[in-house]
Amino acid sequence: MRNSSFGYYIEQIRNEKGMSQRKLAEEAGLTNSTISRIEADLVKPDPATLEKLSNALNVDKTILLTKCGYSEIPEDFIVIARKTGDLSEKQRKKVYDIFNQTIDDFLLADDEEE
Amino acid sequence: MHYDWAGITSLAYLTLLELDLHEFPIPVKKIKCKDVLIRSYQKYALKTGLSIEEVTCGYELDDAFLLKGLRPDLTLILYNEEKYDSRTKHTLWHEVGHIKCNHQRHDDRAEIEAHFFAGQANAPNVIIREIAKRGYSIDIPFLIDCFGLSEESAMKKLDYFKRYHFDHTNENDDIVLVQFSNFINFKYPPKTQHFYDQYYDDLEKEREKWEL
Repeated sequence: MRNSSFGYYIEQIRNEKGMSQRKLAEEAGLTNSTISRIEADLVKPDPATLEKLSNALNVDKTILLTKCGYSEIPEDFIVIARKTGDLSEKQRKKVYDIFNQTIDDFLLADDEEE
Repeated sequence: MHYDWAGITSLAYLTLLELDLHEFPIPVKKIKCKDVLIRSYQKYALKTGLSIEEVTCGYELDDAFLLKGLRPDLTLILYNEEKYDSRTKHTLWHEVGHIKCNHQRHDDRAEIEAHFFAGQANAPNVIIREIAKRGYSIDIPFLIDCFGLSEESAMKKLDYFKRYHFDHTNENDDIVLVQFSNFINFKYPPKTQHFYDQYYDDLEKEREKWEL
């Protein structure tokens, strides 16, 4: 799904910050073409590139790493439910992956009043 | 294993006070928790394009679950809004109980504490005791009608009172009674003028002793 991809995520943040691809490339010390290919999901950036992007976009590096699929489950990730005692580590990772990939979209789209 | 029942009761009562609730049964939509997003599986699925099966990890997480640590300062409770109301309410209070009790992992103790919290938030002992003092009999139909409990929850609550009667008191009893006083007075007015007799009877007995 395009709107849950890493490239789309970067594009969204860049747009929110009002930056062009060229501007982001300059700020991050990358080429215009690299930014374009990342946003089109044609390449998976390495951790060093993600660090440059996190600095340029002022986004937590851990978030970019996890969104890009580099990180394992963070230590403070907790799932509590009646059956979680029976969830295998594989299932726990699956829950983490599903929600890690979708939570930002959900928070943006969530229109329910508190 | 030692449990701090009074402490958990306090947490449940403080949650009711914090939410500024004034009557029972409490609707599902009014069950909230500060700094916690409570959303249904159905809403999450709608907004993200996931299926219910994906949201519930292949239906493993059937009723509700709590997620922490996905993003800084984000705590999320997701629940199945298609379950019947009384079950959903207990489940949501249960998940809020995990947060209020500061549970960091799932184990038997955490489950027991969260269940107890849910029982107290859903149908506070202090409210039941007050209504009983006004001459109403506390039975399963009463608990279902007053608090919207399921029959199963009502049976468990009644069993609790049979075992422990109304002996347990809590430091927040009075303030909870004040918050729900309009509800109690309107729906459960005293059936007799003797609803606070026990207290005055005790005083009277004392006085009679003095006269002797």
